[in-house]
Amino acid sequence: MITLALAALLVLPAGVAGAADIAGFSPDRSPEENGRAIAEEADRRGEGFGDTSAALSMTLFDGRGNSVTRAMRSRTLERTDDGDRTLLFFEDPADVRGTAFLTHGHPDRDDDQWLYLPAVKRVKRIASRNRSGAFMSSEFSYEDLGNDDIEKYRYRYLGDETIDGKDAYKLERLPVGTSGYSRQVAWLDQQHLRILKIDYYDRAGALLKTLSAERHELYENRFWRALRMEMNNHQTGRRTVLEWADYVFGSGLDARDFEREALRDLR
Amino acid sequence: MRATLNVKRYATCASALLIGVATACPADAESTDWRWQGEITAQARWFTESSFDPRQDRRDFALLGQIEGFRDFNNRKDRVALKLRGRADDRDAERNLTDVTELYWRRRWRGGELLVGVNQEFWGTTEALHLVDVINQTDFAGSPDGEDKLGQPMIRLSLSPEWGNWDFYVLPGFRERTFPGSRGRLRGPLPIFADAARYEASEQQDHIDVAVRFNHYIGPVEFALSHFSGTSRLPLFTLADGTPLEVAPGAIGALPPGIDLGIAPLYFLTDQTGFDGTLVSGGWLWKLEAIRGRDPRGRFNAATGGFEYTFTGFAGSGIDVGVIVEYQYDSRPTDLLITSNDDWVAGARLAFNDFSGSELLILASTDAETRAGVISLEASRRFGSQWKGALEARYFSAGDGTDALSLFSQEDYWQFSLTRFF
Repeated sequence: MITLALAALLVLPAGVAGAADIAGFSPDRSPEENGRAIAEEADRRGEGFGDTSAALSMTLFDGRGNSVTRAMRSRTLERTDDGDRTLLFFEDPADVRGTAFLTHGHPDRDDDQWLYLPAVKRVKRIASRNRSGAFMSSEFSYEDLGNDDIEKYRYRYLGDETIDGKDAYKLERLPVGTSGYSRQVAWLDQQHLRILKIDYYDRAGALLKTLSAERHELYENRFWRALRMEMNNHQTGRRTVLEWADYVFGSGLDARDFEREALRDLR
Repeated sequence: MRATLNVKRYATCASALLIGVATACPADAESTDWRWQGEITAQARWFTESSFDPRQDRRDFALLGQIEGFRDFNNRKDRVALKLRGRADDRDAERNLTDVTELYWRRRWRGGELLVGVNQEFWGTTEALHLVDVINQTDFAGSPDGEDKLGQPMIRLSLSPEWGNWDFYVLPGFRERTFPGSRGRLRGPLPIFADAARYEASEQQDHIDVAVRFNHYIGPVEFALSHFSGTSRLPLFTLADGTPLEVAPGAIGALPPGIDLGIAPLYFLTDQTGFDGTLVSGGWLWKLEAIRGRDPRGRFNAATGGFEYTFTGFAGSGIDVGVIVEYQYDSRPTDLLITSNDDWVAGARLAFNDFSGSELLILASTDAETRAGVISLEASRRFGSQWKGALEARYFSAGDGTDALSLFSQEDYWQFSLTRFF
């Protein structure tokens, strides 16, 4: 799910204090070292969720007052020996029902991604260079919905700022592998290391999109999930809102639920 | 609506746990009720030229219906599914169709699954031609592009060991290919008498076919090896009385359009081995399909391959443009259904990324030697959330007249369809 690109950073145990608890974080160290330390701590706190399943709605706004809503389900499987696997599939509207999107995340290389098109019963591989393409006409790209493993970026701690009244770390993320972005700037709240906001810069270096993550809920007493994410495209004026409901942890999903073959069964 | 149901189910589940009741609690709070959906399509075809045969018309109208439903139970380990398709044509009874496309029970376990019943399977990777895709029969009367398929009875055992994925098939019950009738289009000058089909297997439609497929992916490389043994879904043709037909398209074209003259499919026994693979590199998808098989005339080889390259957000427009180039080789002589023996295909797929999900696919193919070819156009968009409109057009070019494809040279058509989803 959109924990997707954000899973690693959104999922954290509750009640953890701020900077003092981040191993390796110190004013004496370089911005690169501190940035990496924050990312590692956020990643560590997100570990152990096993698998999740949730209902998801995606609403597209075109900037001229029109909107359209799609209903989906999302499933995620945590992998310790490889990147996490995520699955999104559409339940509505009728003409895209059964369309499914699968990501096999990898820490050390580009994710493998597939789109299943039920009308032709065909699984289509997404070329890594095309990961900047729009996911089902939304402002989220395939890349945004992919795996956000810690090794996917080089980090730089840019200082502290306040976002919506919350003290936040400002973190620059420079993509290492194939990416549609030249850089990202993320804000994580200092208490729980939850992503609050990300600015995405296009390959030319111009501000392209901003993601706002809201309505964080705590599950299993350990894992935070944002139940609302809004992606604003500054260059087109379009935006997309994702809203989650019915999160279930430990639902017993296994690797077979996330194989290419499983795509043909979703609807 | 569904969300509400899910919440309720999850709540029930949680309370059952709280009071220590050992109930069958859905581990994944997803619907286990029957879920149904349907669609009805009105379809009009208009042929730009009159045909050879006066019984045929230049226009054609059809109504298509489809209903499907499924139910998961036993913690999603089991599924039963049903999908029925129907088509009624106002001119050609041979285009009428009632098809059980899916009717199966499937059980999954860690590492595998078993499916018993009727289902559809797609094998392959290339865009224009599907060589390795042999499980389901083609609904040729439905569409000449070979994308429409009929349900196939099967027992399918799938196993996913550490390395790769295996599918083993037992396929009882052969389905005959649908063809337009004497009054129908799109066909060559001679009508196809589907009822006069002949079989090499003495059990005819009751011959039990078998197939196996292994597929795997290693990072950017996906590949599959498959083998099929049984009655070929792709028939050869004889004259309707069984006289072997020398597949020389010129000769077929020269026959007078007599009422009783026609051709009939011959479903022969074959063994066919196939390979299909995809290589992902940057923005490129490289694709290859190859088969080796035999028909009554002997061994044959065929292959098709090429690439798809996508420009995302083409020229800052937000439109994704995929460029497709494929080459097709076939050692078999051309006939009505095998027209790709030395052909190039080029085209583009446009995804507009707009609210209506507008898409456009244009493909042009041409035979390197005979210059016979097809230009096809498919476009679709949604209207609101319950309606979809589609446009399809094909233009056939005869080239020097020696290609079997030239039999279709008067079959250029435009097709409009409007679908309502339920």
